[in-house]
Amino acid sequence: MTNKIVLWIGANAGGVSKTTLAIHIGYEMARRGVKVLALDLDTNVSLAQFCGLPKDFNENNSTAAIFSEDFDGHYPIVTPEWGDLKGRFDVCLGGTVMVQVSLDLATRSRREYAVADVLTDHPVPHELVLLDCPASLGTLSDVALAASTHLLLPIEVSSKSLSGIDALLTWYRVNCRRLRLKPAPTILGVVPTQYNKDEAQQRGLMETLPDALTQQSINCYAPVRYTPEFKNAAMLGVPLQIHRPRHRAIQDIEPICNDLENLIYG
Amino acid sequence: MAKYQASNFLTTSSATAQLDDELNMAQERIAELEEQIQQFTGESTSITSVQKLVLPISEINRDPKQVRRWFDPEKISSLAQAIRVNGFRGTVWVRYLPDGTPELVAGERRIRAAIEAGLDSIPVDVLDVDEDTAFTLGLLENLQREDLNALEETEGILGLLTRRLHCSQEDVTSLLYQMKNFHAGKSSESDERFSIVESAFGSVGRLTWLSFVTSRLPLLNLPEDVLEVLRQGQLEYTKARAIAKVKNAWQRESILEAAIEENLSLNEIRQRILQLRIGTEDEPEISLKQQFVDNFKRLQKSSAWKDPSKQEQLRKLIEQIQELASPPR
Repeated sequence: MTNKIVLWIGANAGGVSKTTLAIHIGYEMARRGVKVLALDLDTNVSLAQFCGLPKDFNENNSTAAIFSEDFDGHYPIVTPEWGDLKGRFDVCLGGTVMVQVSLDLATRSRREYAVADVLTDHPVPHELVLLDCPASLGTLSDVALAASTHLLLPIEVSSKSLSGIDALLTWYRVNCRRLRLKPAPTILGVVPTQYNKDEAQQRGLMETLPDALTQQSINCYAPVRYTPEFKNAAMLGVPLQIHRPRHRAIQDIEPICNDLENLIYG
Repeated sequence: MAKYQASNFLTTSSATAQLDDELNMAQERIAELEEQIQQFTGESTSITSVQKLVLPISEINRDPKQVRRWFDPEKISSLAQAIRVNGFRGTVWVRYLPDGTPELVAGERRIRAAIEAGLDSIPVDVLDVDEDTAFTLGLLENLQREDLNALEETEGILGLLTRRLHCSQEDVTSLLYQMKNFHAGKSSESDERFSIVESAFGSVGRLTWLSFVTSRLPLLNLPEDVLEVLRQGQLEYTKARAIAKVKNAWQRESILEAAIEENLSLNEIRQRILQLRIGTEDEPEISLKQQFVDNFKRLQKSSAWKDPSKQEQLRKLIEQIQELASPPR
């Protein structure tokens, strides 16, 4: 018996490695035997780029399809070339079509529950669903929050990103109540990303971050180090595990994957 | 202190998290209280909220019978900060008095924080309960909190028992002592109210009736001036208890005053009490007459009478005694 986890990788500032984490966590979990679906709610095309998939999609072959009022349960699933593992890594891609989706949502009833309702009515076989959505606190974030069981919050260790997470955490608490989420999704943890220990500011903030988060009963993962190889891998449309299998940054996401494995296999 | 403090960037969400906890606790409390009050009264009184309103704080009659009077100013301030950031969330409970005034049932601490945060009005739940239920509710609500001081708790529990048994506080106290004697086998006088007392302690769930009798009732024997200060919430319990140990009434009074006005810490209070002791150690509090009698006896046996150098001193002393002993003119 496995538990189904819907993990929203959320942020309130761009460029904090949301998609990078989704790819690498997803790949590692699939490698361990989990069926993973990355549901892309983002308006950019980075997930397609990172997966090495074509970027020409419309409202029928993208995540936009599941927002259709007459969605029949046929998820527009595509699999990257490297997605067939012990488990599997599937994606539903977003992109610019999602801009129209978020506009149309405005007039829809139960709009915040659009994805939650679809996942209830048409359950997917995947044990882990990863939600990637725009780095703002708009309607699509409401949708992601209402659909998720867990949250993972990547941040850059900088004053800008920390102020962003402050707003996101505040928003999270207020919206869990507003949307009457019972139970409210659990915050799996905050993950510092692109961490460069040679920068004094990053090192200083990193020293005090876990304590500051503990005061709010939030777990802080060990940072994922900065390396240009993440970008290089993305450019090639493969995860770092394939591009540089022995790279030490791969170890940095292992604690997160261990926690997810425990949640899934209980 | 590190130069870069992550917590400086997380103040808003911290304040929200705290308010969230408050709100969760408040909601859990409502559910628990409903259950408890039913257990307690044995009747199925459901606490129904008849109305949600926003009322000006100044219009709310804040019950002077409130058990809890000491509120940690620091905790109030941090709650006020959370309210400034997020607004006042949740409600306090009021009920309408027959003359139409809303009276606070529970939420004094949050009202104080709201005032500090500069709010004029707050959302309330109007409960449809009679005076007795409201009082019991307020007491139960307060007794559940961890930060009630021992005197507040003691008087609160006594208040609950007088309501439950429909008798005076003196009657309750003597019933409790009677229970204790019966329990210790010193008395065979049983009373059917024993079981009511036991079930009341069961539903409050803070401590057993026996430990209440042995460790809490004696608190009421603290000096009256100390009790008064505690009841008015001017001083924390731990400080007051330290001051209560000072036997001399005027010395106690002066330390009490200083503790309140200068906001002395517990350590400072202990220091001052110690100074008092040192100052009076050589002259124990014995009446002048007793001192005279004691010293008179010693002097009688003393070798001073035979010492030539002391003769003049003795003569002067006798003159002084004669003068004091002769009736006033």
